[in-house]
Amino acid sequence: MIKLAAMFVFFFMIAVILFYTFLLVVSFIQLRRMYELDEWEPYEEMLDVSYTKPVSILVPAYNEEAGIFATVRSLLSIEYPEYEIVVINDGSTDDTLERLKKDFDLIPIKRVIREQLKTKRVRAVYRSRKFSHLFVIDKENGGKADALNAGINFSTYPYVCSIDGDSVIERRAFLKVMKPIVDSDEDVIASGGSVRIANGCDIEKGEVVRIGLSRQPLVIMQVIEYLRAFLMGRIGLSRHNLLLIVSGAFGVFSKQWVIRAGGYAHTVGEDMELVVRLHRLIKESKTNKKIVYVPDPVCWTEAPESMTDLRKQRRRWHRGLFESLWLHRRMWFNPRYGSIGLVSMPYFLLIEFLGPVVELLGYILIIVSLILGDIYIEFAILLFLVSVLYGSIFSMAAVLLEEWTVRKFSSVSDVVRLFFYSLTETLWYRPLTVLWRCEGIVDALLKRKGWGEMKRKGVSK
Amino acid sequence: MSNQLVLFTVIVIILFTVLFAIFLYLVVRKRKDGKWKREVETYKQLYEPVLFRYLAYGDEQVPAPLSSAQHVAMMELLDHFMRVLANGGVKERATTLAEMYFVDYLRAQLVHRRLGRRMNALFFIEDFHLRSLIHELEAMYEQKQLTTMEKRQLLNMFALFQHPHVYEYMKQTDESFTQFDYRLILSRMDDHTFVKMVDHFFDWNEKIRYAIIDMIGIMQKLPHVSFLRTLLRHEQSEYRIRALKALAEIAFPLDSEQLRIHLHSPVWQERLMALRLCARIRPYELVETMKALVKDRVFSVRSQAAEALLRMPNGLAILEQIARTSDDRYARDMALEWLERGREND
Repeated sequence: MIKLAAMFVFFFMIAVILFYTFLLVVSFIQLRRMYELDEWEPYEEMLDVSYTKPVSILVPAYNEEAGIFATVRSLLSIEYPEYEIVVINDGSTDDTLERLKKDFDLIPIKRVIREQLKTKRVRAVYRSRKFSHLFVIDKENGGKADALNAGINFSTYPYVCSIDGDSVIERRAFLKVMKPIVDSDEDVIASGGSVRIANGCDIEKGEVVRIGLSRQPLVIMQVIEYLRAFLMGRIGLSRHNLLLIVSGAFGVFSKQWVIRAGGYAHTVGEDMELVVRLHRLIKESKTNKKIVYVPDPVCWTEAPESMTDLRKQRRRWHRGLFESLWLHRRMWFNPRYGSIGLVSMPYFLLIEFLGPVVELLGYILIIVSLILGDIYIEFAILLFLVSVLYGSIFSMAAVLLEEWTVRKFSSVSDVVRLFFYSLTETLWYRPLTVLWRCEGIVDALLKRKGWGEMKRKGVSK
Repeated sequence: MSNQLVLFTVIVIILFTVLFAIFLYLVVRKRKDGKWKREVETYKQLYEPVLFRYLAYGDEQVPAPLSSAQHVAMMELLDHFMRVLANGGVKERATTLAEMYFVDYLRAQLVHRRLGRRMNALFFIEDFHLRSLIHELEAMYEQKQLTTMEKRQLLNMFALFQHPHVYEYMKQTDESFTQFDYRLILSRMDDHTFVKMVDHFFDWNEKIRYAIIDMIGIMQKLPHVSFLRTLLRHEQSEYRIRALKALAEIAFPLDSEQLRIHLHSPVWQERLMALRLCARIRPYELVETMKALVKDRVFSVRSQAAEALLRMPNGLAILEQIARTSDDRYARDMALEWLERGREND
């Protein structure tokens, strides 16, 4: 019995390792080609209004009186020829709206809102007297997806981007993310940028002035995890139009397509769910549209620093993943949806969603085998080795990939620390996240709702 | 089982060793790189005053760069000055200097095995108008393993340098080129080549045709207005829509009877673009038609119609009247919105 289980875990992991290796190779080739390319030249042309598509930036806000000013402030200074900022106050119970009114000198305006997506009632619309491209919508509480949909209804431009409360957007983020859309004559209908962890970086006035690494082991491990997910996973998947997550915090979508897809839905991971729906729509309407990912780090976000917050986050993420997958279960292994149905969905279902269960089983088997001793010791060692391969080795490779291609960390000691921390992943961090993700699965199965938001310290000085 | 275990242990140990080796290599490289960057910075500080006086007044001898750090330092500085001191004299002197010192360096970069390096060289050659490398660029264009990115950039440069064969090169472009690419190429052409492009309009593929129409508008190429007007009679609506959009950008006073035809088009995009032109040229005779379009079934047409009315000399009065008396709720709302926008701007 134990032998059978051990063999199952072993072969499962070997299969996954092979898939990861494939993604790693694709990413390496892709990133290496663009190595040392000038940071600015390719985007210079896009500053001309006549060539670039305007973007509506949506900022949903629910009780964000502390952070909203900094977020909006940083958006006002981005480098992009034509854009508007739409803050949606989703029935906050604190002083978010008052704060906005005061800080940006808002006046009520009359606007005809084209209700293409159904939302909760909009109470009023305001415009800033200081910045003519800043608008605030005040609406009844309906959740994040509802707020985003209200923002889409109001927005005037053909592309929309949603931005989370406490993330910092690089000034050139929009030029970088919009480039594939403009370059492709709008064959690209969604484009996501890479997200990095801001803890440990110096941020002033909504701009990252120095990229550093936090001293906290938990944060360092998350940095490694992000490198692994973004550099390895998403580039590899994007290359073959298999991408299912545009990004948790930063993505631009074609408004027309989002509306056709029915807007954001009330799920935990509304971004991913929307991307799956867009893929579905692309396949069902038999068009040649694409969803891509830009490897440049363009958005910095605050990572949880305590175990409690991290655990909450991971449980929530995993539940979100489940909801998106379950909602679109018709696509699983369905040849009608081409590579998305046959590769992406199975990948997210078997590796991303169920992987933790197999991993947990692996850890349990290691412990049981050690207790039983004798011939079982061999199982324990074998399973441990394969988990090292599965966890630590790929994380180490991701850190090296970063240093070999993107090279965002300027100090040698940061890279050394990242490398040695990634070495320890299998020993403590990986088992922890596996456990939390399994808890997420239980939550999803029990349909447990509600989650505490993490306490934010604010990343900006 | 034991064999498997040994095999696996060996694999894991090998992988660890390989990763450690790569890690050591990268750390050493990073250290070296840091040193090199500091060297470049030192040279930049050294060259800055000399280069500034040379570019601004032309009365200084700039020493030839010898090492690659010196090359990079001087190129970065030149690039920086080009952006902040953009005037004719500065550009000319920068080009002279680049022609004198960087041509060999760039020639080597153009055949570098890494795409990033080759692209940077191309960008530099374009920014500094280094025509003397044109033969190298031609040779590069003929290469089979050229990437689309390089191909696009090369064509941009041929257009900029008014290369005699740019027209032929355009014919050889493949499917991977987008309208956006063509627009960039067209934007760099001189009038003579552009005229040739327009003269052979219907020989081009659809993407180039659309790009030509758009560029006439964007670059306000008045001599081609008559061509745009012939397109207004084209049976395909896409040509009519784009021609109207270009005319709107030029603000060409199209006669009202012609414009009326487009305002009544069954294609809503055509009505929209015709209204956009109305907003620019304020045709008094068409006020009634525009008023009717505030009730159009398409949202963006209604909005554009209200804007066009607002732009009329008595726009506020017209919109007030609609807001008060129209039998269409949407039209009233739209009129109110634009009234407010109009008053804000007063």
